[in-house]
Amino acid sequence: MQPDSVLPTDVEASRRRFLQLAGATGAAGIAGCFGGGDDGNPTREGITGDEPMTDRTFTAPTSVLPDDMQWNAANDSNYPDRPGFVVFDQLVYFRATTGKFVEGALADWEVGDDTATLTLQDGLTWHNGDDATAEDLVRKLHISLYDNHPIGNFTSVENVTAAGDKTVEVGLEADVSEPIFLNSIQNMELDMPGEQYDDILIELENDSESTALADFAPKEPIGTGPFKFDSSGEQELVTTKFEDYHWADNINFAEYRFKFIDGNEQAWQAIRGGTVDALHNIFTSPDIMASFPDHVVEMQQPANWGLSIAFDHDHKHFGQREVRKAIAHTIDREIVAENSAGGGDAKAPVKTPTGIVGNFDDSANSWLDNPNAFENYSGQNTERAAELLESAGFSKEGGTWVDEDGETLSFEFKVPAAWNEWVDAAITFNQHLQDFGIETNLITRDDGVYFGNDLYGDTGFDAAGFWWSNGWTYPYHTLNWNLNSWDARNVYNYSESVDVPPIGQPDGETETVDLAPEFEALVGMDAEGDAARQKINELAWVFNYDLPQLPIQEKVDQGFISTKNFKVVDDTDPDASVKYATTYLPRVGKLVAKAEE
Amino acid sequence: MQRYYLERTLQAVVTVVSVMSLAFFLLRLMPGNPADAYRAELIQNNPQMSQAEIDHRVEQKLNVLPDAPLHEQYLNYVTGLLSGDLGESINEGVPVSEIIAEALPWTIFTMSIALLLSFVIGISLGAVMAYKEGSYFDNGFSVTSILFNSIPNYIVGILLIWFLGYRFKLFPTGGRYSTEMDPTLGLLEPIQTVAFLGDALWHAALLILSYTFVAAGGWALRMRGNSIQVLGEDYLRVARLRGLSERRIATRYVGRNAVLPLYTALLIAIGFALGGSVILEQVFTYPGVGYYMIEGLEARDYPLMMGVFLVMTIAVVLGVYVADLTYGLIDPRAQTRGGEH
Repeated sequence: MQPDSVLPTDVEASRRRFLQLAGATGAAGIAGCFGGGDDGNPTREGITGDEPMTDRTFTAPTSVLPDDMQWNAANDSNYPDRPGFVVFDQLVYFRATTGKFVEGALADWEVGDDTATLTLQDGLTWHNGDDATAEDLVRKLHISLYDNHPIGNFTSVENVTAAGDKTVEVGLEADVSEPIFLNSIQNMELDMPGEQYDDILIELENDSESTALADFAPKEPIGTGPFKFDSSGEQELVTTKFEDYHWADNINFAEYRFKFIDGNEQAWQAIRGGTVDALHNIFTSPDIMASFPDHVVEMQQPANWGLSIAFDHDHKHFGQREVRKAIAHTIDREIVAENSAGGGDAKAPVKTPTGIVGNFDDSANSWLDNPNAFENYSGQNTERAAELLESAGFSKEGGTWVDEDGETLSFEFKVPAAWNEWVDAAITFNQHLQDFGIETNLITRDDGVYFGNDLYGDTGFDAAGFWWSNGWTYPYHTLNWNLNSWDARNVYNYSESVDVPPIGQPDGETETVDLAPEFEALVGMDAEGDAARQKINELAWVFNYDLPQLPIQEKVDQGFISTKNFKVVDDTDPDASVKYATTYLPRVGKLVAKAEE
Repeated sequence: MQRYYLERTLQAVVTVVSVMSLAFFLLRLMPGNPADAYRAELIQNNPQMSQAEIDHRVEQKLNVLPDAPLHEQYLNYVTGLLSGDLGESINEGVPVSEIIAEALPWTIFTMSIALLLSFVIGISLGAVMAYKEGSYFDNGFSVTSILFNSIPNYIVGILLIWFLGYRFKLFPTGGRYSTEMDPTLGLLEPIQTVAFLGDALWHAALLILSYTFVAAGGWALRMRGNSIQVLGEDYLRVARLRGLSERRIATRYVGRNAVLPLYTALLIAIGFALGGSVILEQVFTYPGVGYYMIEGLEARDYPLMMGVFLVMTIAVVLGVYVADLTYGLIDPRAQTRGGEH
């Protein structure tokens, strides 16, 4: 399929106008509160496309000490993630607001029944001057397959071959639709040049368990991205414009620097004081935004995930559907989202829990044939919650719900202590539950303990903060994550099959749905066909009826760009929804330097 | 006397070994381990990474983690230590000794200046306060000293960084030297060396001041107390009757005798200064040993934590040891030990 070209300003119909709506509300709320001396709303100059080349430097933060950086993404120690986005090209990019993939290192792709054909950009060049060829992409894919990349669900090393100077063929061993295949390669960067990785590939071919890849830590990268590594010092990484970049004409500033900034407070201070021109992605409440200068503009991007309550399905109480539903009716998600966002618009309450993302603009409902057939669990319907608990044999004694054995309905809710937004949300819904008579106790945990022991270790949990989506918009991914993933089975012990009535008939006769075969069928269906839509509706109903998790809110990622010396498009532009606006927009000429005075 | 030195040496060695052993096991009793911390980092940084990928990465990481029983790990660690091997940092992937060798000079640089400054300011102020006991000067500075000494140095650090760093932009808010500065230390390049040291001092200024303000208050109060005690001694009355000048009395009699008890405290403080750097270096994102201690803690990087902890322990023990051995040299009254007259 020919991808959308990114170079002209596309006029895609955005499914999500939330950025305009929420942005307008937020801006109105904080306009006039902005510090920095000058009053009024942030203003943006239009980008004409003929901005002259400048010597300007764009500075953004990095959380890795430049002197400690190493450039092998498969070795997570000290890999500079954000700088990696400008030094390397991703194979494809994803416009989160429109759900479209656009070209990156790949100029074209075709996902057929048996083969996916990937074609690299003409003129794609490594920073050492070598042409980037199909062999480079084959090397990348082979190494990724040895590294357990999810593309291994559809292919294997022997089926990935070069079919020309710029074309690679991926033999498909399983049915897979285009969006699912592209999602699987979307985070891949063309970052493994032969000069650095040929030996590693040979080692992996000889011993697939070799740790050569994980141990490799190059101090200088060889990329294909718009900015080339120049130097790294005590506090800054300096990259300079790569003149042979295939879209170099879109870039009109000489340097992209990354300043070491450790922590949110320091990052906010840095953009306040003008030490940096941008913050890539940082949750910022309205009161903090109010302290930014007027020329700092917010760039919102759908995050496509958010906080949920994960129940341990092996738990005596939470294994019962009625208890989960009662909890859903007890919590007012609107209030929770508002408190979690510090009064801002960076969190949207999940309107109808279906396991499908898109709650900022109701686009989640666009996947449903009849949204009204689904239970929305909105507000605090304590009467319905009480009915459900009573139907499960609970009764209220002394203001607290107890089961038939006299055991109190209570739980410890675990969240990572450093995730303030989650802690704020948990405090709010714990209060809702306590007011209703369910005893809860908020436990904040060290990150390592929370992930390592509670979620993925032996300690376990009764209920814990989790995420109800793995960040993708296509419902296959989020539904699979909730109902059928390794995490569903092993983290919250969800069953492999579930008894559900027909859609929209909660009191109807139930049928057993085996989840794995349902997803095996969906993965190969044409994403835009009726069969896929039907399947998505059925699985969304399973989610809505059984509540494997209770989605609370969906978040929006917030980035900030200073328009003092740079011009940037509005965040309603589909390209602004590509992660991250600060690293992608320069490629397509939508973040440009102002002419020097 | 030789027995005294031997005893002190043995005490120092036993202390280091005990603390090291205790730390080795206590660190491993902390909830979470390197694999957990690594998993947490992977999940947070890569929400779209599949569980299979995460597991694979963690397994690759686990390959470098020792899976022997704890007592064997301990023996291996001690054996390595005896041959100067502090192990390899799990998170950074380089020898711990390399990280410490790179970071320690910076911590010594800041902490030694801070300690020296706080000591000089503290004892000067304390002596004057003692001489002016009961005056407004004494009362004012006593309150100020108590106040500063009661505030944790990192709070002072946060205030300084806010006002002098972010608000007035007089000092950098992090880092050890400017990016464009080429680190140069050499007699043959005096200008570059001075420029580099000046830049490094400018970057460390707020960190040094944070420590100095707080510690100086403590030194001043101690010096004041000691001086007041000395000022009441009979030999001062005799000195005055002998017609000695007040200046001579102040420096040779009062100052010297009042500062002697602080000598031990100063040497111990040298050791503790390294430990005191932990939070301050984090506040100022100053990559010294304290900064790496927190990095190691967050990643449950046992070898790195142990290495830094060991350096700090040795510094404290060494400080006490040197104080024990040398105090008798500067104060002959302490040459003799109880029962050995």
